Amino acid sequence: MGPADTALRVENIRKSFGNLEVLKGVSLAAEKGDVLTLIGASGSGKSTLLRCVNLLEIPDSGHIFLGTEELKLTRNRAGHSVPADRHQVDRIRSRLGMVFQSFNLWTHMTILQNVMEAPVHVLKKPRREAEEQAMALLEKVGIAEKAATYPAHLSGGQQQRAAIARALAMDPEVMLFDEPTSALDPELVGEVLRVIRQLAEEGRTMILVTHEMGFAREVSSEVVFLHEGQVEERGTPDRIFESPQSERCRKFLAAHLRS
Amino acid sequence: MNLQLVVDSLPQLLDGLGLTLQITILSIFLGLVVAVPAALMRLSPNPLLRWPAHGYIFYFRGTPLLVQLFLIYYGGGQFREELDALGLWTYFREAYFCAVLTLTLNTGAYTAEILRGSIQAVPHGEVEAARACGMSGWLLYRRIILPKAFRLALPAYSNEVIFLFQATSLVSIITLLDLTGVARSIVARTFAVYEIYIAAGLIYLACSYGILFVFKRMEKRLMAHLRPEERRQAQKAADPAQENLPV
Repeated sequence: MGPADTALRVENIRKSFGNLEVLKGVSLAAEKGDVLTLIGASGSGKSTLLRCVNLLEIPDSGHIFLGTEELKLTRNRAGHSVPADRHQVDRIRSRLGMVFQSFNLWTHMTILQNVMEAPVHVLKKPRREAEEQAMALLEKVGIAEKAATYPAHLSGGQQQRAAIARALAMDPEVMLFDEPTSALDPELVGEVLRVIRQLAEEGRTMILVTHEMGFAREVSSEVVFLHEGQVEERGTPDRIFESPQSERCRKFLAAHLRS
Repeated sequence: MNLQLVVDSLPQLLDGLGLTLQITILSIFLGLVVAVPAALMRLSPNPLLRWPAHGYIFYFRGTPLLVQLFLIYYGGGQFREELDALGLWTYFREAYFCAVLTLTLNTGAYTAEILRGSIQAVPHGEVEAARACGMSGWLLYRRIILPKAFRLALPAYSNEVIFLFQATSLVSIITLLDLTGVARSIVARTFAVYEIYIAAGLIYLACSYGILFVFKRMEKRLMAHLRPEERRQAQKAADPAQENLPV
């Protein structure tokens, strides 16, 4: 496939927090329709990498391309890496959908208002259109009857499905999932994974950080194993899960598949 | 106790109450208009914005309201020529204007501090979620941060409104005939200290209760998302809702 089919590409991302180098030059590329799964021990940098993609963390160096557009980074007077163009950051972020571990729904708004908020105020869609679309999305994730409810009155699984609907409402080119089921009670994990699987089957481009190894194996087109801020191993899920090449990856999978 | 005197004085006292309420409402409204930019400036990373706001808040929270009132009302006279040149003297010679200006600046400083605290208390994850949707700058403040901050500030802010309402009694010292001012003049005429001040106190009390009632209603409306009884109902309803999953 040519470069026109690349949905998202990051090259040589480096990021340090103080003296701790969390990402030591990581590159990824997702073609349209790919589901890229990042796995690795906690502290391996997978969440930081995902957060670098939409600049919730600013990488110290490296390149980020969404489609063919490169996110421009520059350095401020103190020598820190900063976005060159704030408007470009907003624009790029509005083309990426982010789902957080802790949902982060706006608690003072109803579920419907949560889903309509960004389409109406960022994309400037007419309210009616935004509402119709929001209701369709809530229908899709199975919580349409909760549209008028506040987030605090929903279960964790329902809140996370609402958060997915909120991200989908921007009609994003790539969905980013940051451990979407890690904050959920075990019995609620299934309902969220079901929604994500449905999105994968519809051919959405997604980057997923998860500890759900069985799920990663089912939905991924590529699995990337990170270790201490570097890509230790990458490949198709079958190859990674059947015959991991690196010792560390083997150990990690053995520990996680056992449970 | 001379109850007849209280009854006879009631129309005058209520007249005074009218002025008290007028000054309170005007100062609260204008104070809020001052407080929002002051709080935002106070939180700005730019020292040229942050330090003036800091100084303003520091001064008005750190000095007695009565001193501020004297400074603006009597102190204004000292700068008569300068104020005249600016065309402001006509305002500064009015006790009413000076009272509203002082109370506005005073409550503005306190409210700015309340707002600053509640802006900082807005959950970080919700702000991040808004950024991830492409919101930033004023849009982010207008749609997410300020609406949340106002809600968080409500209980502390109701205190500030009550405080300001009672602090308006100080304006009687600069010749205004507010509720306290009227009470003072009646007492000076009749020497019925107990009757009149108790009557004035009860009127203040009734109004304070009214203010608290309004805030309670407002909290109930704006904090609906945190009301526990609905949450309990929602939990009861949560189980059947699980069946509505996509297949």
